[in-house]
Amino acid sequence: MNGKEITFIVVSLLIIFIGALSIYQMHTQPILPIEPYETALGIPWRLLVAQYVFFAVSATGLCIVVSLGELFGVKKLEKIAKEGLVMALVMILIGLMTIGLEIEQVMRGSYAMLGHTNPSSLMFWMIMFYVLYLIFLSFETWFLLYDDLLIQANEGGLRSFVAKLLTLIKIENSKEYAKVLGMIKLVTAVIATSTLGALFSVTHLKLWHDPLLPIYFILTAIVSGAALIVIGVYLTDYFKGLNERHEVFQTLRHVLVVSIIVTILFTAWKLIIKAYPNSTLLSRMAVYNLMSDYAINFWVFEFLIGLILPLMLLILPKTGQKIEGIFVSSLLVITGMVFCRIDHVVVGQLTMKISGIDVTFVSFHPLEILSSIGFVALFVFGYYLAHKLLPLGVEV
Amino acid sequence: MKRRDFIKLIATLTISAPIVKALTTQEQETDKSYAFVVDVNKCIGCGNCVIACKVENDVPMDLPIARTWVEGYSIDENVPLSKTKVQKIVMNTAKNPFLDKKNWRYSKNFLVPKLCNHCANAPCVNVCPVYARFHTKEGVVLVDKNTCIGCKYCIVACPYGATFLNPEEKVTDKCTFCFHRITKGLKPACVEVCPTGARSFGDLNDKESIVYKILKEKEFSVLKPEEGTLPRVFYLGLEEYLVE
Ligand code: SF4
Ligand code: SF4
Repeated sequence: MNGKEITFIVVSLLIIFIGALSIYQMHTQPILPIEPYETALGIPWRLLVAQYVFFAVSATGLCIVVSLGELFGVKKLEKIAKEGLVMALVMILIGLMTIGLEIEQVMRGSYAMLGHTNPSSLMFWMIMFYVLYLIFLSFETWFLLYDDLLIQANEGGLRSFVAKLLTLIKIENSKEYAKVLGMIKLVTAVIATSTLGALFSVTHLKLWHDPLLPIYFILTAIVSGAALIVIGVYLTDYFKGLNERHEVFQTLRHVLVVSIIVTILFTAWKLIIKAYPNSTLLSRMAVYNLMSDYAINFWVFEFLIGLILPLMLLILPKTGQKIEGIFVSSLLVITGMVFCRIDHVVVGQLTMKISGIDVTFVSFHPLEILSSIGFVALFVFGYYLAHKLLPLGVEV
Repeated sequence: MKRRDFIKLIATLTISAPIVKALTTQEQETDKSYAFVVDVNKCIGCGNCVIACKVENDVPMDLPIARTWVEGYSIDENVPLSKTKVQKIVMNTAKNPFLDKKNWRYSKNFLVPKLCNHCANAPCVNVCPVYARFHTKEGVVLVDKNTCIGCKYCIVACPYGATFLNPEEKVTDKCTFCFHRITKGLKPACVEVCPTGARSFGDLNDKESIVYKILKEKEFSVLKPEEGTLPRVFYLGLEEYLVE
C-alpha cells in the first residue's frame, strides 16, 4: 500500500464518517431541535431519494450492459462482467442503504417483513423486486467468481482468508449456475426498475404521471450503466497501469451513442407533449418549472453536459476512438444523469402544495448534501475494497 | 357502507338531490357514513379552526403544517377572465394573515377552508406500502401512527396537499375528522369553534343530521373532481375555476 492509497482510504473514511453524522443529526437531532427542511416548507422527497433513484437505476443499467456480454454473446463485453456485477452489487447495496436511512422509521420495516404490506402499493413491489434482485445478483457474482476464488485461496494474507471463507461451500459448474441466475437477475432488475418508474407514474403530479416513465427509467439505466462501467474500467486500468481494453471501450461507446440518442428523443417528446397547449394547465406548469426555474439544471447540466456534449465527443472519431475521450464523455454523462434524477424527483413535486403552501424553489439543507456525499464516498470505498479483496483481476 | 357502494353512488351524481338520496339508501348496511360540508360564503377567516385543530391534535403551532388550513383568494375582477390576477394567502399557523389589509390586493375576496377530503378512492391509502392508512367503516381515512414508516409516499400522492410529515412524531399526519371526538358523539374541534357555522359535520345516513339537510337542499361541489378521488368533504359556493 503506497502513500496515495493510504490518503485515499483516510479521506474516504472521513467523508463517510461526516456523512454518517449528518444522517444521524437529520434523524435524531441531538444538536439542533428541528431541522427546517423537515417541515412542509420543503418537498417530501428530496436529495437522498434522487440519489437512491440514481443508484438503483444505475445498478440495473450495469446489469443490462454486463448481460450483453454474458447472455447475449457480445463477446467483447464478457471481459467486464465481473467488474460490472461487483459494481452493481456495491451500488444497489448503497442505494438501498440510502433509501433505508431516508425513511423516517426504517426499523418499522420489520412490520412489512411480517406481512403487514399493501399489494396495491407500487413502493411495496419495488422494494420486493429490488431485494430479490440483490439476492440473485449476490449469488450470481459469487458463482461467477467461484473458480477465481479457489485460486485466490492459495495466495495468502487477507485475500486468501476472504477467498477461503467464500469457498467454504463446495460447488461445481458454478459458471453454469451463474448464467441461469444472470438471466433471472436481469429480468428481476428490469422489473424492479420499471416498478420504480411506475411508482412515480401513478401519482397525480404531472411531470411524473406518464405511462412511459417505467420505460424511460430502463432506457436511462442503460445510459448511466454504460457510463459508469466505462469510468470504473478506465480508473482500474489507469491505477493498475494497464492500457489494453480498447475493444471493450469501443463497444461501450456504441452502447452509449445509441442509448443517448434514444434518450434525447424520448426526453424531447415527453416534454413537448407535456408542454403542448392542449395539455392541462398543471402539466404545462410542470414543464415550465423545469425549463425556467430549473433552466440551468435542465438545459446546461442535464441536456448539454449530460447528453449533447458527450454524444458529440463519442461520435467524433478524434475523441470517440480514444479511451480518454470515452472516459470524459462518460464523466459528463454521469454528471447529467445526477442532475436528471434530481430534476425528476425535485421538480416533479413543484406543482404540489402542502397545507396550502406552494412549493416553488427547493434548496437543499447542508446536512442532506453532506450525507449524500457520504454515500457516494461509501460507494467508491466499497468498490475499492471489492477490488482489493475479490479476484477481479483484469482479463485482457 | 362498502367502499365500492360509496364509489358507485358518488360516481353517478351530478346534482345534490340524487347524491343524498343515493347515500341514504345504504342505511341498512352500516349505521354511519360521515361527511363534512364547508360553506365558503360563511367563512370570515378568523382562523379559530386552524388553532383549535392544532391544539386538539398536537400539531406544532408555529410550523406551516396543518390538518386544516384556510386559503384566502383575492381576485382582480376588472380584468378579463383570461388575464385574471389571483392572489393567494394561506393561514396554517396561529398567525392570521387575513387581518393584514395589504394582503387583500384586489377587488373580490373569498376564503376557502381546507382539510383532508377523506376520499373514498384515496390515493394515499392506495400507495401506502405498509397499510398504515385505511378506511374505517364510516368512511373516515385514518393513519396508524405506530405502523407508518415515514416513507412520505402518501404526501406525494395526495392531490390536495392534505397530509404532511409531523417533524416531532416522525410519521405522517392529517385530519381524522377528530375521530377520537366523533366516536364519542362530539363534533370535530374545528366545527365546534367556527363562529359562523361555515363548517358542518354529520352522518349522511341520519336524515336529521345537518349535512344531510344541507346536501339535500343546496348545490354543492368538491375539490378537484377530475382526480376521481370521491371526496367526503363538500363545498357550498366554491368558485371552482379559481380555487386550486
Ligand atoms: S385528501 Fe389526501 S390525505 Fe385525505 S384521504 Fe384524500 S388522498 Fe388521503
Ligand atoms: S409515510 Fe406512512 S402513511 Fe404515508 S405512505 Fe409511507 S408508511 Fe404509509
